[in-house]
Amino acid sequence: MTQSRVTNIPLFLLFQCQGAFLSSLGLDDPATIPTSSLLLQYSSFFAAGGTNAISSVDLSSAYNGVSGFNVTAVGLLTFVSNWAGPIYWTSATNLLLLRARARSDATAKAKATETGAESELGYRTRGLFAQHVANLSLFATCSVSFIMAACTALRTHLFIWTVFSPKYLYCMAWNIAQHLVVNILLAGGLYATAA
Amino acid sequence: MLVLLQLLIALTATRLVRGWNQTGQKHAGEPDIVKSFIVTAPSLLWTLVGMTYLVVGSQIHRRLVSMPSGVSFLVTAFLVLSAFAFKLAFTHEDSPELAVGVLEQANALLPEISLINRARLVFSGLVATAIYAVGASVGNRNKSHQVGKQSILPRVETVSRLFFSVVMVHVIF
Repeated sequence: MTQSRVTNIPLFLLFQCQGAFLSSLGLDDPATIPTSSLLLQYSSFFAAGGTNAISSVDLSSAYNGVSGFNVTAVGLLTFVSNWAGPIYWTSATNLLLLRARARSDATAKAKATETGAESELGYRTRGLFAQHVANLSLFATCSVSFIMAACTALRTHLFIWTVFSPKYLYCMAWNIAQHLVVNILLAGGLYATAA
Repeated sequence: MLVLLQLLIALTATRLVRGWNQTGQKHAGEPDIVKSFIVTAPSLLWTLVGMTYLVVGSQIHRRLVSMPSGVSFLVTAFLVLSAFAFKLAFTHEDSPELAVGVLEQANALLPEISLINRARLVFSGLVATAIYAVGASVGNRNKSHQVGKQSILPRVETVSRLFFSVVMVHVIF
């Protein structure tokens, strides 16, 4: 929220409403959480003012706390300020996944207690995050491959990069930064470190 | 019944989210919620912003279970206040027509720190709390693996701690 424009901050209240409802549904089938996550990430990106045009990249928060020329810091702040919605939904999805895992652990434990096969160790459901990432990656892979195919097939066209460079740049930002770094590395790290 | 209410709220929220900013080439410049209702009524804007910060602050406070309640309240209050102060000063510089009335006075009351330093204060506070949270969560996880038998009571605690390390990301931006 520090990186968002003031007029976009109430959006986070609305995201909380959406997230609370999703959480109350008790989702744990492996396709619903990633699909909801993707849909909400994209919708929040566009709701906060992002478009598919490079001109709508918001630089107003790119220099918060930066006093000189600093490519890394400014780049990072620009990304965080434009992808604030998707980053929010990545961590909200993480919470959903953690709750699903806790529920699944509790079910496994209850079943084991019933059958009398109580074990000393706690129960830990594995593979939930991997399934989630697999679904997200399926979407990312399909979209990136089609973009790559289009760019390759039209590479000798006169206007290819006039038309395709915004698409290509956004594709890089969404898939390398948002998908690989935020969705997989950061979310995976936080999921793994959660008790 | 509660689920129905939550569903209605979520659907309304989704409709509001979709209409918040008008984007896209075809309808560029057409009225949207921000242009029609938020910018024209700065008091509404700042009420909503204040509510958002309070909600986020209460979530952080609720999940900072590994320190005594008073300390966590102070930490949360510091985070929320510094972030809000930064937003206020930034809006005052960037778009003064939005920071009018009560907020001008509030801005004048707060200590005179430059924008850059306010931002750095906010970021360092967030990073410090995040590192503490992740560390506490990892520490708790390691502990609970060793005492596997008594996994009923700590389960309530661990559930809260599960979430805490993640909720910090919410505020980072």
